[in-house]
This record gives sequence, C-alpha cells and structure tokens, in this order.
Amino acid sequence: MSPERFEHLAQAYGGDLRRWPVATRAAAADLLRTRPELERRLTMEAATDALLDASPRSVPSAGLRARVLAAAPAERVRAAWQAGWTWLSGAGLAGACAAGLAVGVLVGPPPVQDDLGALAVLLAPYDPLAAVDAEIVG
Amino acid sequence: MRTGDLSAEDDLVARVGRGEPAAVQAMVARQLPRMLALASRMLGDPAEAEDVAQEVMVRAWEQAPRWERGRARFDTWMHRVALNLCYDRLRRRRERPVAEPPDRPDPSPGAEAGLQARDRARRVNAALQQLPPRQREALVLCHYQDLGNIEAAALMEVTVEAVESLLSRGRRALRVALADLVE
Repeated sequence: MSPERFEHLAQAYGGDLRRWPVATRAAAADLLRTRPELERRLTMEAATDALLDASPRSVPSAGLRARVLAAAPAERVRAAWQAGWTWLSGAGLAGACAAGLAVGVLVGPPPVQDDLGALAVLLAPYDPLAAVDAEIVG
Repeated sequence: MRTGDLSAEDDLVARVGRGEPAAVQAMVARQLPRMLALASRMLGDPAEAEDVAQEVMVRAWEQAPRWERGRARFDTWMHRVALNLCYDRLRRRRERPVAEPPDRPDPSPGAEAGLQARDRARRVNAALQQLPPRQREALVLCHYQDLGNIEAAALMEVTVEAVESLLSRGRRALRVALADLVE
C-alpha cells in the first residue's frame, strides 16, 4: 500500500483501522510500521470519528415498539383472537348462551355434562384460538 | 458476507414469515433501532424518523413470508426501503426553520457536563443535516450503520470509489463546520 492510498483510505474511513475495508487492514498496519508519520493522519481522523460518535443513537420509544409489534404477523393473529374473545365476553356471549338455550329447548334435554363442558361445546365454533394454535404450531 | 450470517438471517426471516412470536420479537429488537437510527440521521426529525422506521418494519412483515432464501441480505433490503422512504420525505420537505425547544436548566450534579454533551450532540446532528444528502447517506451507512463499503456502494448504486469520495468530503465538511469542537 502506498502512503497516498493510506491517506485516501484514512480520509474516507477514519482513524480506526478496524473500520477500514477488511482487505486493506493488514497492508495498512504493515505500512504504519515502516512509516510511523502516517499515525498523524490517523490521529486527525480519529478526532473526526469522535465528532461523529457524539451523535447519539436514537432509542425506539415504547409507543413505536408497540405499534410495530401490533402490525406483526403473530400479533395480528393474537389481536384477532382477543377481538373475538372481547365479543364473546360481552353481548355476544349472552347471545350465544341464549342461542344455546334455545337449541337445548328444541332438541330436548342435553346429555349430562358440567356447565363448563356445555359452554365449551356451544362456543367451539367461535373460538379463533383453535385456529391460532394450529397456525403457530404448524 | 459470511455464509453463516446469511443463513441465520434467512432462518429468522422465515420464522417471522410464519408468525412465530419469538422471531418477531427478535427482529424488532435487532432491526427497529437500526432503522430508527438511519432515519433519524437522514431526516433529523424524530417524528418523521419514527414514521419511517415503523413503515420499514411493516413492509418487513409483509415481505418476510415471501422472502427467498439466499437471495440477498434482508438487512440490506430493509436499508434500501428505509433510504427510499427517507428520500421521499426529503424531496417533499420544504426548507423551513424548525424552532428548537429551549434548554431547561438542570440543577443536578454533573448537569454542566450533561449540557455540554447534549450541545455537542445537537451541533453534530445539525451539521449532519447541512451536508448534501448523498454525503450524509454515505456517512450514515458506513460510519453509523456499520455497513461494508461494497454493501454501501450497492445500496447507493455507485462505485466503492464514489462512496469513498463522498465519505471524505462529508467528513471534511463536518470538520470545518465543527472546528471548535475538535479536540
């Protein structure tokens, strides 16, 4: 590597050889050993590096992170499930139960089951969680 | 580019495409700060930078299910999307002075040092925004985003020599603008 090439690279990539293109680092280090005056260029460029490094990296806010996650594939499915459960927990649940009662009256007394078991049977068609599990587990 | 790195990235993208929550979380942890950092330094506006970063991640979610293994680095693709969005905003932006909020005095110990650091950061960021966009882009990609020169050249659609010229000119302009801060 020539001193001119060394200067060119230092002005582009800065004072730390670890930031230089990988293919140039060994040759640059070899040249420095024989031309120690080139260290002056590295020192000057290191000062510019320090200026650049004074610009802090932005940290994503909690709100930004939440919005990004809300749009993600898994979150969209979970949100759909939660929306479905919210419907069921409100008027929808009452309606489902009423429909179940009506069916029960029409078809006669149900087989002996506990209350939760009967409710699970009624709600099974509306449970998007079953579809979520199938998709995630694959 | 190491083959192993590309393979690991492809694996993560595939898992994101399948909607695996852990993969989604990992992608957000790794890429959202990178995209926000790029947009922040290209645009100099925190709100716009958040919009760009969010849009890049949304497009990443859409792209992940159909990403072809071994095609390219997904990180490079995200950088391309982010840069395009930034340039869209830069083109639409009209030159207008932006009022900065006044500094509030901080009585806590070490406040003086903190003020100096914040002032230094503010001036560096302002000087970055004064650079021609292409010089700023070269600095952002190579110095801040830690992309290699070949990768940066491909993203900028120029030669490596052109990237190095942009870097040199950008660094020189910053040194001149911030001469009083150089230690």
